Amino acid sequence: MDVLDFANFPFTNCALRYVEGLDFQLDELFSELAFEGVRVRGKERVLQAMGDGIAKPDISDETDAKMELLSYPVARILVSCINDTFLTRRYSLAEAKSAHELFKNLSLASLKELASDFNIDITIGEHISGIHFTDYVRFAVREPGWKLINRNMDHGTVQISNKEFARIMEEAARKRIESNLPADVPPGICTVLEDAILEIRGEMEARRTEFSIDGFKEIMPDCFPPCVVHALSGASSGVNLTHTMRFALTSFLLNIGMNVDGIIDLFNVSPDFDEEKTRYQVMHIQGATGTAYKSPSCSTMLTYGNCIGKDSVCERISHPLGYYSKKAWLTGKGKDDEIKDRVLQDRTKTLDKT
Amino acid sequence: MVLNPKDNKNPMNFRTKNFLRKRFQDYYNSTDLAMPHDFIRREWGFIFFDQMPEVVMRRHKAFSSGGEAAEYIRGMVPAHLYHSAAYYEYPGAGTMKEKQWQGADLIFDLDADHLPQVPRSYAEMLDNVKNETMKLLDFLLDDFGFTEDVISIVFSGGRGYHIHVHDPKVLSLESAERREIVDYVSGTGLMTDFLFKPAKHKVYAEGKFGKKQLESSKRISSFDDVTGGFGWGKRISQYIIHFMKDISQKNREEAVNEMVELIRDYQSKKVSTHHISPDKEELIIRMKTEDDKMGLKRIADAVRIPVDDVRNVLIKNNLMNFKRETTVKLNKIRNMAQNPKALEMIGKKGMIDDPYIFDAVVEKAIENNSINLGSAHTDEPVTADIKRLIRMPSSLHGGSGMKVVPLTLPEFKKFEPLNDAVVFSSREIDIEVISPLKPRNSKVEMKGKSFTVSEGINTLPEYAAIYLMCRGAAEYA
Repeated sequence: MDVLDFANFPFTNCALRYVEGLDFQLDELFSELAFEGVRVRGKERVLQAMGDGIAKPDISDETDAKMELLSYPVARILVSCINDTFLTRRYSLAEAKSAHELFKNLSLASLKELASDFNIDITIGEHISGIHFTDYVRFAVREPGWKLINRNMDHGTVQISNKEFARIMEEAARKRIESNLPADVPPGICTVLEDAILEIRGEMEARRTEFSIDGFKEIMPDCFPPCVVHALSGASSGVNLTHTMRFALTSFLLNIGMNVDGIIDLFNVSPDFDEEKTRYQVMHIQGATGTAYKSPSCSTMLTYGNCIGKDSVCERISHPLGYYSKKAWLTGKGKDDEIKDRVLQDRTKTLDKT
Repeated sequence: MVLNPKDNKNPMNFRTKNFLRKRFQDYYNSTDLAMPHDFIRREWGFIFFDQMPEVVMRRHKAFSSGGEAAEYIRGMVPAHLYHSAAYYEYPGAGTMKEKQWQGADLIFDLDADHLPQVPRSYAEMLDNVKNETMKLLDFLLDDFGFTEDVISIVFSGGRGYHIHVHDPKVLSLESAERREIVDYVSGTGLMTDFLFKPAKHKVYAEGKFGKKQLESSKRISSFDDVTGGFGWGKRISQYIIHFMKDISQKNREEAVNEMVELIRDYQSKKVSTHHISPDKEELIIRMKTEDDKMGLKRIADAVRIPVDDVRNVLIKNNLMNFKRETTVKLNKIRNMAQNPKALEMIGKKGMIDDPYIFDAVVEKAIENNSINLGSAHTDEPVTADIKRLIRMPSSLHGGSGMKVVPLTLPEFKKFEPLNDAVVFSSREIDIEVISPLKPRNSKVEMKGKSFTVSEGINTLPEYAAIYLMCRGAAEYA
């Protein structure tokens, strides 16, 4: 890989070493007029991350490449100065996603180099590659077709297509970027970047209020994830749900604020309905005994065969509750962050401690 | 769970505790205590005789040298000894956060309690769990490709085996990632859609009207490059062959019944009738009950829905007679089982050409090859728990008095727990068996001998006496 590749994959160790080898000081990046373009691009990365994704510019020469490469540390420092969990995640994902498009065009040799930069043990072939299962499970997508048990694995090597390898690299990149944020920022630099920070904060605020409708009090069935819709239609037509699905459904509905009686009514069509027993179970899940249960994550749903397949929103979340708030946000029904905070954290304090 | 408290509910008197403690101490003094790999970075935990039968775990202990650990164990003589599967920067720190997790061995806990079989004796129970362990080892060696030198197999001293894998590549895996490994070996989430791909070769059935291409012959995808396949695909093809041979050897009636049951179970789980209106469903049921001989096609024409939907309604309502269908299929299976070429297509090439039967058999194959780990079927997160404590190999199990025996693979194959894990002498001593005596404690089989005890004073070889005292069934007399 050369500097043109580093510009596209600035989160690699090779790129980092290259930057460290350049002849300038970090603070010049934030003070010198010559780096004005780099700073603008750095801010743009963060703004684009909140919007439609980070667009990669056309790079024709080494100077362009260096500018693009250096804008990455600027963006990281901006994100670190702001130090907001939501922004950090969003930004890391956007960086990884924009690199993903470019993984596909790399030569086999460069892919190999990239994999070893991430310590990924892989034998790359023309169409099919063999990756060690430990690296595979670290970065695999959480959906049925990606479960280890649904892959061909022989003596520790999992077969993947090169398209899947690109997806694995995206996840590896996302994890690396996110785990290194927030970075330690030398004192004073955040102050120097104040204008850019204000602009980003303004944008964050705008995104938060843009779709805001009065709170999140009503239940919004059209925002339910596919697994919940499926289970509900089963429950309401009298199909006996499995124990794990019953738990998942009940905890989900409780977590989004549905009341106990409403949920009991849902189960009232089961052939073996026993109101007292159902009430006891629902209240137990609600936290009558001191432990409030959080509804299971997508990977747990998958494990028990309760995931019926992903739709486009599922691609962007890892928890049915995340689906609900994301969908509400997308359809303009609630404040994404508020919902996320409320749903994912408050209701489940007790469980997370254990 | 590290210790099953139900093992030991009876109080243990002072004399018994002292005796056991003394004999455990003799064992520890005479044994060269092998320390686990990288033990300096592990947390230790102990349960002492004093508090028994209460289970009080003293944990967060750390040792900086083998001598220090041995001195502690020989001096304190715990009833149960554990160390963490995890490695920490500060293993002795009081909270998990302060310890700073740095990795953990991959641990599997195979316990007879998790197995579906109901054993008739302790010996049979241990045999069952040994077979299960053998199955798991096959996964670890073949599918995961671990080498024998990174796997240690440990007899737990109680009802099962622990497997510790310390391959450097697995140490840093997090909990969710370990869960994927558990799901793999326990058959959880396996979807047959991903196991097969449409076959490249067409498969034909020869019948009265010449060759006819079968609906959907398919091929197990792991057989693409490797003859005989690998992984789950290989297990499934081997099970199918086993099933075919097995059912061919049964008498006709027995074989038909087994097939009918298999197909009925499978089909009734699979079909869905949600999209059919209740009125039509009721009509179908009525027509079939009134005239059992009425064919699917006639019903379908009358109700004006597809034949398959009629079939599904009948299956759901247990009105479908599978006998004729399965008899035809059974004949086919019997012919195939006689035909080396047909067997080779399945066993070597992974070609499965009759979804009607084999989908049901595949499901059975998955069930049969899955490992029953506690963690897969209960909420007990053993393998996925990266901070768990595990019994120290070479220590004594305070609930049985037997040795927790570390084994290599060849040693494991020959291992007989009720002989090889017994460390105490055959000198005869007296114990008082206390009431009520549970049936499972009334007979002790060890060292190839069988002892039947009754309430009151009994004279037994020391190893059997210690076993009963540790189980809380007897006091030192």
